[in-house]
Amino acid sequence: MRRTVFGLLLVAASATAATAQRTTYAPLAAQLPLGARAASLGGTNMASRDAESALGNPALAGTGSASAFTLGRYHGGTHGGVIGMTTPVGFMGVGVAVSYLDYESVGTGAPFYREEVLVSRGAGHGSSMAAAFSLSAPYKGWRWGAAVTYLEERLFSERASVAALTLGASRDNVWRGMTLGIGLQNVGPSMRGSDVTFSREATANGEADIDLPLRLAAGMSSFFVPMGAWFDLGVSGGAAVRRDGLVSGNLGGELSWNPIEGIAVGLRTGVRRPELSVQRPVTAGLGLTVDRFVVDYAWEQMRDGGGVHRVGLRVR
Amino acid sequence: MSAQLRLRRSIAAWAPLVALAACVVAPLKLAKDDSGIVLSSLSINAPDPSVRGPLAVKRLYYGSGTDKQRAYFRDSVALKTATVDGTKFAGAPDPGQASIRKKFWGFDFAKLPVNGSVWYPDGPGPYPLVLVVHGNHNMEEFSDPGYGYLGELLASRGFILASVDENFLNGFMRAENDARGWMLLKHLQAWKKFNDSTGSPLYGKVDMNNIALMGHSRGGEAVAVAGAFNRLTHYPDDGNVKFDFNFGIKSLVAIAPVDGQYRPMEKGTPVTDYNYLLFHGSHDGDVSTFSGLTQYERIKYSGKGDYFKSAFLVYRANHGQWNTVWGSTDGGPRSRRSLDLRGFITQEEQRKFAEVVVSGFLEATLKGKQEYLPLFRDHRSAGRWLPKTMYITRFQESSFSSIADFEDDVDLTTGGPGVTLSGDSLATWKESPVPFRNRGGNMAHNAVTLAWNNRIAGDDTTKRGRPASYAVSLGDSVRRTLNLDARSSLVFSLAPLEAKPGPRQPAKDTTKKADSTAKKPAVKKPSPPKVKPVPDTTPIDLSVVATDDAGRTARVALSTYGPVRRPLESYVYRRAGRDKLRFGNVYEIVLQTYTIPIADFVRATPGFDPARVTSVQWRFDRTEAGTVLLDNIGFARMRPEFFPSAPGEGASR
Repeated sequence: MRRTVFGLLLVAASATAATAQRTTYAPLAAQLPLGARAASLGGTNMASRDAESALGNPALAGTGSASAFTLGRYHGGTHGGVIGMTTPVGFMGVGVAVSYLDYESVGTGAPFYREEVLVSRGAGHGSSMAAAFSLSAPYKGWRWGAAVTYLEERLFSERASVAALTLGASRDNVWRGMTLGIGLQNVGPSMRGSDVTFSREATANGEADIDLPLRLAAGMSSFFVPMGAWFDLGVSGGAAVRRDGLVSGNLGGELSWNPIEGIAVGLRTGVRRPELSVQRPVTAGLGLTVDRFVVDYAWEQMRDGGGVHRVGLRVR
Repeated sequence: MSAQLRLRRSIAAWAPLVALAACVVAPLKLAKDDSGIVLSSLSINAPDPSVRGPLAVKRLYYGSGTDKQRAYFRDSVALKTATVDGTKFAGAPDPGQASIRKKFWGFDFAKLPVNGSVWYPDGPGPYPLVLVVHGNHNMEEFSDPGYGYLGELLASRGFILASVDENFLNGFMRAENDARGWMLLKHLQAWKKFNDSTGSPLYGKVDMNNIALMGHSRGGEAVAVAGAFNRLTHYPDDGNVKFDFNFGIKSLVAIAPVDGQYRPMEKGTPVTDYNYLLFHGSHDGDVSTFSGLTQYERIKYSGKGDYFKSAFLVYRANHGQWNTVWGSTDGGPRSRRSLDLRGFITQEEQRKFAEVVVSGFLEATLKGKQEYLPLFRDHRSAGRWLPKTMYITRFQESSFSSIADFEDDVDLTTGGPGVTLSGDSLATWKESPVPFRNRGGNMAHNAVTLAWNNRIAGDDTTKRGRPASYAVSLGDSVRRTLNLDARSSLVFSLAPLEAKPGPRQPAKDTTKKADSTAKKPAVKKPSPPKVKPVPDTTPIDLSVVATDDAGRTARVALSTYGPVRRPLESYVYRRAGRDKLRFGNVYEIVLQTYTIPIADFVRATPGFDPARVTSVQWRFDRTEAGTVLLDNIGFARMRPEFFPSAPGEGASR
């Protein structure tokens, strides 16, 4: 196991040199944080048992029953949302999650402008979606999972879509009670669309291939570590290498105040090396837990002074 | 912005959180305390057993001498002991745990150390030996020093106390209580060597014929396991493991024990012919049900020798305050979030209780100081020694002969051989298992539930019927077997419940013949408005009536022989509603044992013949309505020392 982690880090380190040249991938929905909690922790998702794990690490789907719904409001008339559910079924786990983004491709103050969106024909309306169904099961001390994901990007009135596969593995208690998650995300053919809409350059046949953000990712997350009688501290983080060699990473922490059983107020923050150029490194958020219900808030700073407010409700 | 405005805004900002907190934090709820009356007297003519004795106390450690974690078991051992192989009895639950444990302790289950801390009197001896063992806890926070207060007390009074180290069995272990019990016997083997070895500082100081084992939590179950193993020739789970213990263990003490974590041959551990003391806190946040009562029921007496068993439910006591290391947070430091600690008696009071009953029990059972025996039959006899809280006590002495325990058949009208049972005007008469407060659990033994309401239904609210009653009738053969006389006592256990049946329906007038041809108008009575039931706080009392074969009846009031209380509500959690969610009841039903000397019936009715008792009746004539559980009815001819003065002189009350 240690060798696996070491190998991943080695891959990440060797790929760093390639990060200078950014390439544009689609769909956008597969490149954004999943849920308000994950967003406030820097976007970590590989080792977190969140309800949206079908879109993150499918191996973690079904480690508990949970549902989550997050709405995000960006500046520049852009909105997004994530919904996820996961539940154990016998020895297996099942997860379903959908991430959706509704945006303006170009425009004053629009967060996802030309650099992130493959558009050459000017301002327009776009939407992006990633919808996944995952199954997981334990085997030989690890938990293994696979997700089939439908990925779609719409610009103007055109649509490009494809089905992809995500594979994941996780192991509990690898070190001081921490959970390790490893995944290969968005394995599949490129999406295809008209070059006018989905490419900045004209092609001979008028069609363009848009690559999926295939990445190898690994993450760790801790259980909450007690800090005296009333506070807990949780830490999670991860790193990913995209197909073009871009290394992204994140590290998040949550300090939780638990005045009484079942009630908790969590203060979260995260730092990251983002995958999208429009994202900035610092995120923050809050969480209020009342028994099985958690209300999350996350704030993400974006380039050009804008920000994203995410509000989520989780039911465990 | 003015200061006032800022203050207002600040209040407005925090108001929702304050309101949320007010909704979720349960107010402190405690049962009405009657200890000022119940514990107002002291009828035992002996010194307070919780007071230090005259002997100077010495300390020593024994053990492997190689302990990785504790200097006192490494550098300070006066007596070295060999390790023992516990692999047949316990193992790590998974390889990860095995690795963590080996790394922390430096040994595995094949090389368990026999470590102990000893408090002993500075004198020639021999002194009775008491081993005390902790239960499960964070293995890295060592539990064995937590009984030092008992060590200091008992050693000063002429006992040797060894606090046994079983921390290496703590943590995430399951089904290891046989190992905990077996380890105690391995310690006794070491003690035999300490006592027999001429170079030992304990040479000749140990009275190996007067031994007590005391255990807390899982250790509380372990002492019963050790008591059973002590007399077995083979380990019940593996006949290839031979036992050869047979130590002179006389007494077992279980402090807030678990039960059933070890089940030899899928049975509760059977234990015979030991004195047994059991106590448990009503506000236990770890073992939240009085589990030891099932072991209490399984303690049997063969009739060979004088023994007794006694159990105390200590109101407002928790799990951990009997160990100075464990303290008030029963689930670890973070359990402050969940457990309501406000209702506890103080740590000092809780330990004072342990000092009184443990010391008194050991004085009585290991040193023959019988003047302490009344404490275990009726705790009111030691009222001024005990911390001011409420106690419910169970008691049985080895001369007890059961006439009705409601276990054997499904016939409500039969008790033991030659015993018939009958009920009159009862709203409820049924036999069923006594429930534990934990949802779905029960004490694995039956009791009879009796409910009554003497008021006759109707508009006349003053109309009363004949008092309801429940009777046990003794046939000639059983009477001869019991051989009752004025030295005998009627013994039974009873607990009032909260349920209160509605008024009794009037008896049907059988002299009027129904006219089948007359058609009655169908009048539907309006259903009465639903009223939220109000807890019945009327004190419960009843009469116990004995009848002899000449028809003479003698009647005494039950409340004379012990407190008759409704269940004591015990809220363990801070969150409002959490107790009701977690438990079937917010109280534990513990039946109080009452001992009524037959001589008291003679005194109540001159001429009453104690040798020819034909029936005993529980007559519900002192409280209009109520429900009780009744169990373990029988007679005993106890040693007179169980009574502060001889039975029949009125001093038993």
